[in-house]
Amino acid sequence: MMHPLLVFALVSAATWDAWRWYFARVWSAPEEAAALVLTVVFLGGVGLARRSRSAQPCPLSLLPVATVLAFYAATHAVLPPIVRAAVAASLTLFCLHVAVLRQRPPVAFWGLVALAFPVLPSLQFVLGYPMRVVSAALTVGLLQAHGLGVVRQGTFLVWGDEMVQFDAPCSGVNMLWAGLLLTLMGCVQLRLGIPKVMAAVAVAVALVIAGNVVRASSLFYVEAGLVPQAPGWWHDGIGIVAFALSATAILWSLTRLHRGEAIH
Amino acid sequence: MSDLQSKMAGLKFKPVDERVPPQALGLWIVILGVIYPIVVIGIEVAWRMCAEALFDPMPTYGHVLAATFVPVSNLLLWRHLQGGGWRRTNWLAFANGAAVAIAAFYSLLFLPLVPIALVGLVAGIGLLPLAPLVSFACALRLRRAFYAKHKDQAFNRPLIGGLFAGLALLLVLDIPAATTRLGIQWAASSEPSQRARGLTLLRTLGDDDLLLRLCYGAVARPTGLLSALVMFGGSSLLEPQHRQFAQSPAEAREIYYRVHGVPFNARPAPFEKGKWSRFADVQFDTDHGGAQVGGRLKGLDIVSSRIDGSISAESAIAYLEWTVEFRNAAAIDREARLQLALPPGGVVSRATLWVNGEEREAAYGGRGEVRAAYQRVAVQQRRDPLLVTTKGGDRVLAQAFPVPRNGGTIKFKIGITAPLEMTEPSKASVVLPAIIDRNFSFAPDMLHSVWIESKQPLDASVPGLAASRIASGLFRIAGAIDDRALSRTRQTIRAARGPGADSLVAQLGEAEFVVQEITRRKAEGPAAVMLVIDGSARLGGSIPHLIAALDAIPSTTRIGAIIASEPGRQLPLAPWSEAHKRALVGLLRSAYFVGGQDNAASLAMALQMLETEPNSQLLWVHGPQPVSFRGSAARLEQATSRLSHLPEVTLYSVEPGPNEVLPDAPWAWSARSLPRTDQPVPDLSAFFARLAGQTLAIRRSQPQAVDGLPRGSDHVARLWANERVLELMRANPVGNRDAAVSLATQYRLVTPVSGAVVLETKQQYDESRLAPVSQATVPTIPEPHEWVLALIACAALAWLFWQRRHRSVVA
Repeated sequence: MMHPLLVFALVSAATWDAWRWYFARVWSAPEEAAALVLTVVFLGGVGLARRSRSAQPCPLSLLPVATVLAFYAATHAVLPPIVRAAVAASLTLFCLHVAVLRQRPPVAFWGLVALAFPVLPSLQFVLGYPMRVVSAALTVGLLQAHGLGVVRQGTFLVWGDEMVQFDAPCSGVNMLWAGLLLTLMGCVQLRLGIPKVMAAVAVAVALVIAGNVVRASSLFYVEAGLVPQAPGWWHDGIGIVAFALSATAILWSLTRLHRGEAIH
Repeated sequence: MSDLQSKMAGLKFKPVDERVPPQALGLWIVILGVIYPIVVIGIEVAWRMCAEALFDPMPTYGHVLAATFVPVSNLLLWRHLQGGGWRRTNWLAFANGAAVAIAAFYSLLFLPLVPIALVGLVAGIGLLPLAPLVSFACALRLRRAFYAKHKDQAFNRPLIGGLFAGLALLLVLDIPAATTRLGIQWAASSEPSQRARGLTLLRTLGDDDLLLRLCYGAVARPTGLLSALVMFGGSSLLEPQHRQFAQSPAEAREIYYRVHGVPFNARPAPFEKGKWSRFADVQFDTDHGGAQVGGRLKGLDIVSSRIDGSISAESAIAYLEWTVEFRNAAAIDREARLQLALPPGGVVSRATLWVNGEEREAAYGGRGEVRAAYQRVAVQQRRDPLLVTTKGGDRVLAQAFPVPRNGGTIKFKIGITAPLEMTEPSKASVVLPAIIDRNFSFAPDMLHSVWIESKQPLDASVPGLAASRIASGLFRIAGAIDDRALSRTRQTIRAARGPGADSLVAQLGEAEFVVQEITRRKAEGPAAVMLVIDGSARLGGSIPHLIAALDAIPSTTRIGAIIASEPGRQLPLAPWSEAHKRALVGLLRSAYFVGGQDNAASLAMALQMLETEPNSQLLWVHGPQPVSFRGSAARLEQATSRLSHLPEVTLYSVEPGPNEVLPDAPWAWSARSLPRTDQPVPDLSAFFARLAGQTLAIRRSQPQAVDGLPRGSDHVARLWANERVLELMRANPVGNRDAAVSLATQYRLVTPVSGAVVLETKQQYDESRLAPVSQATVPTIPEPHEWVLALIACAALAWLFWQRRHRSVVA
């Protein structure tokens, strides 16, 4: 039985080529590495928080690790770099989790691993337009409930001759990414089971979309001039507040789910 | 070991309570859940800040009471938890349930304002929109404490009962608005029975203020629960094919007219009052650059108006110049639009705009050409143009942009050439022009200053206008009158006319000579007249006058009548007799004049009935016609383009207002307006009397020889050119259009085929290409950066860590 930290170091060294590719990729867009950095920091933080607990080191069997590494080596020539990086990151983070937290990772951990890849551009590509349409439709409903004759034209909100656009940066995908990161980290921290994680993710997606709708309707008031003399920084400020509200609701739902799990 | 045993011996064990005893709620919950919301409600009731700036959360006293119930319930519960106050726990649970329901509704309503309010807290504002959410949270917190205090009792039933009661209260309060929404949806239906049901509902129970707000595209009132059901989920109330939300201002304006029979802009615009109102500043001008006058714009006022003119009774000509100045107090540039009713037979022959203090003359061109130039400059470049175009017979639309924001002004002048009306050779008169549709208001105490001179004695019966003799051979009418006096009933200036001068010659520049002859004309045999009476509510009061005027109908006339309503009622053409008169009077008296009716179908029917009549006339007695109803307008257009013979048409409007019903076609351009100068009886009696009697006719032509004729005003030549343009278009609208435009341009006239436009620079006149609006100018609402979101997520996680550690320490 080898110490998990040593295993982690060896796995990192063995997959150095994948890591080189990963860092070359995120060099041009450092924000894409945010999830990985946050995950590592998060695991470190949780490990520090639990350092006082006298838990025995989790027995880390070398056989599955060696098998995955063998698979990695055998398919190195045929797998695309992003898949190699996925294998490398999964294995490395798994070893790190076991090393730091001295236990096998919960299911939510694998969600964090998925988010650690540079997924934002793909999320924008796949979910961007549907989320823009959904957010625009819900925003129109909310504004109509306020008595504003706003209508949706595609991803545009039209009110008289005022027009506000839901373009790609307005889709809410960034908020979704951050919301999922928060949710999954919370699930890891609270060690929720599979059903609870699925429920938490579903709730988080709904809350993030709701947050984006609230953000967009608030900004509509500002853009349409109904809130007079709003300084430029309000734009960012409203976005931050809207996400903070979503994050608060996500945390509340996580604690409720956790209590339910504890009771059951 | 022994030491440990000795220590343990002193300990006493007792059972641990399963639940932590309830913490007493401090004064903070009174501050946040009672005082804070009551102060906010008080501020809103007193100053109506939210109602004017964004939306009205408490449109009725019932809403105020419902909102006030939340802090009151919180206070009762808090006092009970403190050990005093009300002790009926079931009722307290019921009250808390109702308060939770009401507070939840208002929290949801204010949700979009919460981020703005939280950001606004940094700037020292924004406390008010948070009140519903805070009082909601307090109500929930109190409920928790209440349950903890009475953990041995079950309150689910009263609590749920309270929730339902709160929701029911909100539903009941929303009944008037929901009824209006439902009525609007029904009224927008294309099915006549459904539409009639909707209009009846709106006339009896509808909320006029809500309907008027919809006409401006911003209701500024929240949609209540019942209204939301009607708007978004009314499939059980309406068949899917009939579900129309009627949210476009155009639809709402049509419904408003159908309900009331007056244009929506005849009423003061909502949002005009209130210092907090932002809607007026962002009020959309959807008619900017268009051919409709549209809604009243806040802050846009006419600040000066003068009518200068001269009357030449010898030439039977009047020339009037109307100079108007507008001021815009709003925060955005505005377009001023007005529709003028010209004197009968009049034509606009001059237009000028003051640019940088300098008066600039208009250029004349084809109607489409000048409108395109105006739109290029006014709408796209947002620079200074003026556009004058016709808007049906004897009407013009003038529009100028921009009236600069924050107190800026714009000034223009419109010159009108008009023939004098002659009833006797020694008497001539002209009806003053009037503003009949406008998108601006009148500044307080604004009067039209009138100054008209003539070489012949003048007379006017208008209070405020005085006739005087200035010198030998110079007479004047001068004074100031308010707009109501000028436009409600049209004012007439009369001029005495000397003998002779029945023929004269006139010339404009180097153009051909025009001869004007005044002759007596006898009616051409028995006339056939169809009366089309608008079935709208505004006509109801005029029916007795119309019945009285029937006495003037010559016995040789054949008369028929149609009441334009849904369904229409008619009396076929028949020789005028006592029996026929009784039938017509019976028809008029039994008709039900209500709302605003579609007149186009009745007009089309009247045209068909008159097709075989050689000497036919159509007299349309109507109120304001602000809407062209799509289906029936096509029917009228088809009738005017396909019928082999069309009658002369005379329009008699019982009150000023737009007329969008007649098609933009040569037949309608020749429509003769009969101004309402007094009560309808004398006006209509005079019209009927002319059907069989002798009248004085003025004929203008281009003869071969003009020797010996006295020289008259060059305006005579302009009137000839105007008549010639209409003749050309009546004869062959397609083939003669170029010639008609050329003639109108040569004589500098605003006709149905030509318009006047004043632009700022020569380059603007030369420009012909349109520039599309760049998408880059459209504002967007991007999300915050990823790092900001990640920081928030980290902060949230840190709180989760802290909370867990804190709890474990406490445990």
